[in-house]
Amino acid sequence: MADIIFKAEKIVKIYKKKQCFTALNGLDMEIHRGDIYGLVGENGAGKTTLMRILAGWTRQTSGTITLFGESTEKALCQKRRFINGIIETPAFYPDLSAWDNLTICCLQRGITEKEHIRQSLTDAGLTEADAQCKSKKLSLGMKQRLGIAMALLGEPQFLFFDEPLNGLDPMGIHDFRKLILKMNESGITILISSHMLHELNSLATCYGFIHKGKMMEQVSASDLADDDLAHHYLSLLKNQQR
Amino acid sequence: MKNLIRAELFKLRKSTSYRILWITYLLIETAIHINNISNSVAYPKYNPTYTGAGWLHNLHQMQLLWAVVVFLFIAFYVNGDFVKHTFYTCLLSGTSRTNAFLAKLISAFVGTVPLMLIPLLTGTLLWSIHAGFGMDFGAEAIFLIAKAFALQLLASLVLISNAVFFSVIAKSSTRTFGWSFGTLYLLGVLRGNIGHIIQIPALREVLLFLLSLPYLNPWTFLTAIVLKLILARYIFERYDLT
Repeated sequence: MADIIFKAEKIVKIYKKKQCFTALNGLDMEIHRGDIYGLVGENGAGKTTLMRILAGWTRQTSGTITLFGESTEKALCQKRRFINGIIETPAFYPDLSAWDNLTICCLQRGITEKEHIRQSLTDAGLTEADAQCKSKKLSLGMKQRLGIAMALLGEPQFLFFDEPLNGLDPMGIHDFRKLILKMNESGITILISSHMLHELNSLATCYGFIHKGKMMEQVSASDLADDDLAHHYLSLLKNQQR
Repeated sequence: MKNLIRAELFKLRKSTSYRILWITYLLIETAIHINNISNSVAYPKYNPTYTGAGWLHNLHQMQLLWAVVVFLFIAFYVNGDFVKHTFYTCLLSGTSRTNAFLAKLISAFVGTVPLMLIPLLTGTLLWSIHAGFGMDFGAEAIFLIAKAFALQLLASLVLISNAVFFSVIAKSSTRTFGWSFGTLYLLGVLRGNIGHIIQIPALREVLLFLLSLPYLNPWTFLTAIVLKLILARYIFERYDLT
């Protein structure tokens, strides 16, 4: 069995703002090296919270996460150097050019060669002319590409994308799909959450179905071969509601 | 840590808001000095004869303006990262929250130095023009300029620690500015009018003692600053970056 890149054990996350809200309720999951992991769930199921915990934005109320075999807080901070991604919308400075945003990421990671920036721009499908534009003036698709270019800096081993296809036009979706497959071929493990199940169907090598903060099922794409993804998900939901 | 500080300073160098703040402060300071010069010409009997360092008197009276500048700077510089979610790129560079916080704090302090130079530069230049070029500043003036700069640095430490403390609680630029300025103003009013506000002598004495505690000696001064920053770091460590 391939080694486990990310493991969540009994993760609980309760937001205590005004009224308590349980976003994750004892979630367990495993992502193996080389996977394209499709995370499926309704709005509020806990997909974004899980990614926030993974990225270190939010701390779980209880439970353990393991990243590249490490689970202590200090080691997790260091291992996050090998992961990157986009949660909801790419995070960048809108008043700075795309190039400057990439330079900031490079400086944070101690990367000094400009070649890395050029390479990540090329990989994300952006030109150097695009990179001179202020980030706020880029189209939605271009912003998404900039987010991907930022994520690709520092040769990550694990990328996560939360609803990356939202707002993209058909061409953008097509390009994104190609890019994901290319990155995966180069050895990067990928976690994607999306409501566009037919798109996930064409990408993912395994799926996790999440409902009300709990993992209903984890299944490989080959096990689902004869079943339609949307049909499988709906039948799982129906079983849960019974 | 070094990488993070380099990235922060790069951001500052490229920041449009920072440039706008610098230029606006320069214009306001210039206008204030020109106004003071014209007053000294129009009503000489009400004004002392300005020496090369005479404008320092004005500088000390403009601390409230300096506080506004520092609070605005912290509000956009520190809170900007909360609003744009850009702290998250920091965390994905393999660093801890403590380091991210310290890097931000150090660069915020460094960022105030060019702003701090404005009153000194405009004052020196305009009063030199007024007094006639070639005027001998003398050793006393240079000593006073150095002293004013050192005092401004200490005042900045207090103002920055206040604003950073509020920025991690408030998470919004407007609230950070409002709370920082409001607290400073209220404390000023309270100290000035405590005799009218608090009628019970014992309570008044206790309050006066507490309010003056940070300024008793260098150690209480530094302790107050360090305590505020430790508390701010503690909150930042546990804060959910949304």
